[in-house]
Amino acid sequence: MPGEIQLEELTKAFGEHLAVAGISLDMPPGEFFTLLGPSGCGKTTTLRMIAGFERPTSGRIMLDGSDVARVPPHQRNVNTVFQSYALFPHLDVAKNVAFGLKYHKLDKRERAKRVGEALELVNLTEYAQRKADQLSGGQQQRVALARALVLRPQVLLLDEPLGALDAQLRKSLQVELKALQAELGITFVFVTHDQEEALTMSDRIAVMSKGVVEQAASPREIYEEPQTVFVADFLGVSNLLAAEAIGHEGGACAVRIGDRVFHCRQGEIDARGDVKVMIRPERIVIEPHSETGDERLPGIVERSVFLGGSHEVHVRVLGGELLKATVANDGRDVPVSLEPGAAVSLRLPPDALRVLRPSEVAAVQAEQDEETRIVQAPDDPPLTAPPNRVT
Amino acid sequence: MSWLRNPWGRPRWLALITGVYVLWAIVPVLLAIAFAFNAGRSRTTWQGFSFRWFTGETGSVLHDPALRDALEHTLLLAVICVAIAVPLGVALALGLQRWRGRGSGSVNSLMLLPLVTPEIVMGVALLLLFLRIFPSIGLGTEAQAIGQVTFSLSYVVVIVRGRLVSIGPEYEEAAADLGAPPRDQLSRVLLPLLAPAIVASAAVAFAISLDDFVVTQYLSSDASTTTVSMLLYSNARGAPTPGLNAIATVGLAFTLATLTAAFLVYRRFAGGQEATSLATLEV
Repeated sequence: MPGEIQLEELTKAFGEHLAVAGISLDMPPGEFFTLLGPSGCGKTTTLRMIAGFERPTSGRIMLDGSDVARVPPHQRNVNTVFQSYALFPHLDVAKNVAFGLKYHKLDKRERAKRVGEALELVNLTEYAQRKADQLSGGQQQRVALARALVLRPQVLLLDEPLGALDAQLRKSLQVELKALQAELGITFVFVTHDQEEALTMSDRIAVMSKGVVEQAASPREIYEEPQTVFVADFLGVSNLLAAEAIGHEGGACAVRIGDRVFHCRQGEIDARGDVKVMIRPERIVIEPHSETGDERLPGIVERSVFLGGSHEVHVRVLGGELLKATVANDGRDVPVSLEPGAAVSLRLPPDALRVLRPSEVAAVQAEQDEETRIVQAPDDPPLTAPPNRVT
Repeated sequence: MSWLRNPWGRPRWLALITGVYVLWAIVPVLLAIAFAFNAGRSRTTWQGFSFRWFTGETGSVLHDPALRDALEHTLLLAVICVAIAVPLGVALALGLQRWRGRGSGSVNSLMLLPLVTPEIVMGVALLLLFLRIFPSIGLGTEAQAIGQVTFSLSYVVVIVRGRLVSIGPEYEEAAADLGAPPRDQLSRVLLPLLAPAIVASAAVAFAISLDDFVVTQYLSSDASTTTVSMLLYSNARGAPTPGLNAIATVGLAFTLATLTAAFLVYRRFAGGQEATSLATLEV
């Protein structure tokens, strides 16, 4: 089945600024693939290169096996849903949808039929004669979708298509879009900065930062097994602790945090030296202050925030770092006081502790890998590491 | 002043000053128009209402050869000016918009130069140009048309570029994305979206040409290249009749009609905000 995209060392420089710094990604046919990252991470530039609006500085864009990096946008079999929809204001809905069919050899009746089908697909049949500015945001978004899908592209590119809509509409369109993609079976390349959107809709996610792909994997893997500090920090709430990896003990990595030693079973358990240790707030267990054994870190509650389904408790631990722990609001008694100032003990189970290389190390590593592989672009400026944030 | 002490009070003084100014500006024009309908030969004493200076047997806009020829020549120049300046200006605006390389900034400011150059300077310069450098063109209708195009072009470029900037690149990208080659991106998307600006700039160029005196005067040759404004000027101190008021009234009517039509077209298609910015361009 066609619709496969492979990006090979794709690079885009705007003057001195490297917007996309040699990324390589495989998007198999029929996949819902998401480019996720903060603004300025290069995700939209990547999408615009696939669409053909930007010419790559170097690298290849393989569409079903042939390089389209130098093919102008009107000759590529990919279609785009723009962030602002870009519906032609001088045409009505039906003519907007029919716009691209002029370039497919179809007779008049076939063309009308295709337009009708596309409008039906997005439930807008009765709006065919309206002008774009007479539609709501959600309806405009559907027209943009119909206008692209009527051409039966192998790949649909979506640039934050839900960004301009209110939260409620977003949620329902997320579900619709995902269902539509499953029904059509074509490749979707979806750009968003909204991690929740990415997690709920995607088959696979590439998390981008500063022009590079930090990690490309399934939503579950991205969330459960982040490989870099950036990914751990960007998706969900994470606690990241500076630690020193000191040894290996039975499938776990022993790390020193402050003056205590913890065991981590997840992540880069072979690492030595300075590392980051990550734990999700929902995996931290809050116990009474009297509990002091292994796996435990004493601390003082600074703040307790009621979130409805849970409490988020901020605990200042020995050593000065602030950890967030969530306590489920499931009706069971919490054996400790969560009032500010209360002394507690945090248990950090080995299965929940993940060792991450600090970003500098990872970036240098990646750069070395890069240098050995690329011959094409030897004068790429060195990549700066993402900020090394500690939550 | 009360509004200085009471910010919620109505600014009566400002309203009064504005009112006086509007009266001051409009009364002479209304007077001139009124005497175009005078039944007698006087331009100062009212002698009854008539259309004789528009359609009468002698000395009227319709039948006096000097007046009629001047009006015809003025309209001819205006049509030529629009026919050349608008397509050229649209092409220039599109080119400047796409040209983002070195030099585009200075060309941009150069395009505005004719708007700020004193017209008399431009007139003299063009006169020398046609006398010394292009004597084959010489003075007359061609030179007048070229001269008018030279500075009305800037208005076209400014208006069309303003619209291009507000349209942005994404409609063209959307058209390309849907398979339209560059030529169709222009004809099926960009030009329809630019239509209000093109109509508006045509009206502005038309009105500027009708009103122009300095450049047109400098580049004229004989009596056959006299325009309405030149005729008014040369007869002002001779033996003026209300016929001059009548021809001025006709010219004013043309100007107002084109600008109003353009304003309405622009507002209908491009939204009120840009129409007001266009209004400030009217000269």
